[in-house]
Amino acid sequence: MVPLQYYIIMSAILFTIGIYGVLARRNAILVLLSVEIMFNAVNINFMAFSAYITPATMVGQIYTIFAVASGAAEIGIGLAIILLIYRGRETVNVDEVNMLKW
Amino acid sequence: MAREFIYLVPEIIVLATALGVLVLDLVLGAKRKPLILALASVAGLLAAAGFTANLMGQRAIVMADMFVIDSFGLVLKVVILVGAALSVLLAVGFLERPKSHPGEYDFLIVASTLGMMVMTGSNNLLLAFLGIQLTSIPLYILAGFKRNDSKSSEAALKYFLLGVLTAALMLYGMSLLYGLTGTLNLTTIAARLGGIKTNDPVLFLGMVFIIAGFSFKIAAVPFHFWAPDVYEGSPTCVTAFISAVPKIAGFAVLLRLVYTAFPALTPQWTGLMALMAVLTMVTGNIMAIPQKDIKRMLAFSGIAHVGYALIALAVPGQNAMGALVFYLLAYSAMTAGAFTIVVAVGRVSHEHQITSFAGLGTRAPVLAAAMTVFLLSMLGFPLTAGFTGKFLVFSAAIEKHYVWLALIGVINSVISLYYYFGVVRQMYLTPARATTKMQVSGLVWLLIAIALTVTFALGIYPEPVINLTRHLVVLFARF
Repeated sequence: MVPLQYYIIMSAILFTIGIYGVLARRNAILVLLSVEIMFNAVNINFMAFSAYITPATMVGQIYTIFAVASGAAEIGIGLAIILLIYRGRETVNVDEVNMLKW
Repeated sequence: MAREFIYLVPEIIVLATALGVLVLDLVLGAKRKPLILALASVAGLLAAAGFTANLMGQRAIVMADMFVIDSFGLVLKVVILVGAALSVLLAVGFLERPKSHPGEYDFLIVASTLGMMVMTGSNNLLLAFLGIQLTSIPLYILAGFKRNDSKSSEAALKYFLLGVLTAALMLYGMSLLYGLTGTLNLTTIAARLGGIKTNDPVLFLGMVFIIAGFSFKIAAVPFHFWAPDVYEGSPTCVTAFISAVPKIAGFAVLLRLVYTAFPALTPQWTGLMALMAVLTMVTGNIMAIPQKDIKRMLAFSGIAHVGYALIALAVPGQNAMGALVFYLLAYSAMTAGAFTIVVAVGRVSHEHQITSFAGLGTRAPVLAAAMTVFLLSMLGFPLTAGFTGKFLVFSAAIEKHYVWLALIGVINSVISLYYYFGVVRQMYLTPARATTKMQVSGLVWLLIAIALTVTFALGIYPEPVINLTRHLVVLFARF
């Protein structure tokens, strides 16, 4: 059986890749994609902990199902907002979306 | 099992209201639609508030230990429901313009309110997360509600991207905590942490990530970057809602988390809260000074107020908890009042610069006087709600020997004098650009009157509410 540590390390790596993507990417859709990678890192964590630490209860797996569902809702809204931005100014580059000063 | 549903009646009413509004939107004719839909939503929200008030004093934990009924949560739920009802009324004028979508607007506000009620009562990390999502997702849409206004879309994008980023951080923290304790239930986490050594860095990291996620909702520094942009870009009636109501729920879930799950880590999180309180107060007040847009100015002033309220979280105890509840009540009354006036002025001048308040003292004397009262209350002037709130928070800090924290709070209040009086100066000392009298709708007057009544009542005769917050506000978990 694969040791628990492998899952945790993989999830940590995925999470870091996600954070890097959020900071480095300027395209709003790619930023969204990077956040999704972070969400999936979390899901791996939950599944692994659920299988190794609390195999009798399914808490972690149920959490993952809820997280995936709410993540899908979030992406739906997010893409709609990005589409709205694109219609308004023909770009989805987050650096060019700067009418309100940061 | 069936008995448990009695405790969930308020939430069920709010859900039914949300769905009912959507159906009403389809069957109603265009005539007077915004007003009828708003009245329907208000009726539902106030009915839920009545049922919530009726549960007051009960203590229960329902739905497989997930949902807590205690007077702390019930008091805040009543405030949330009443605040949501008032903001639905505030939006009627905005929704009466052609091609606005009143049904969707009211549905989103009510759905978001349901999320806040779930947040306020949750005793489980999964439920807290779902509550936050249910609160945030409608707010992202509401921020971008003016579809043809690119500022509004931009506000929605910034709110959304930063929101999902902090949600991911929070989830990662929750997964670490789950890995350490094997449970998501706050009470059980507290029990299991007794057996783990509390200086574990992973535990600390998990706690910090979760607190960060909740801090985003209350716009505490360093998770405040969204606030000024979202406040400025969103329609003003949405800003009024975002600035007051979700913060109450955010504080509720934050307090419940640290009091219930982390009593073993009290030194760590009180230090964290004290640090955040200082950063939030200073950043909010300093950044508010150069602002030219009234909504941005009020955004930073709101951040500063979150800082004062965080002082109450940094000094745990019954008095501090009562002070926090009182402060949230006072804050939402004065902020809602100030934003109502911004809405009224914005409808005439079509802009939100501080200079658009010039000469308001002659153009609309009552409006200007009311704005002055709200600004004085934010400043912490005696006889207003803001003064009593700050007094309670600072005295709770001094009682626990955090004199320095109270002192920083007082110094910050003095700094805030400058930018609040900038608005007062515009209203009374700068000549008006237009001399016509301003027209204000009856609904707006009603809302201002309610906010003024609360502001004065909490300032002049606060004893009943203070007693209520001191004795009635108890958490389910004893810490």
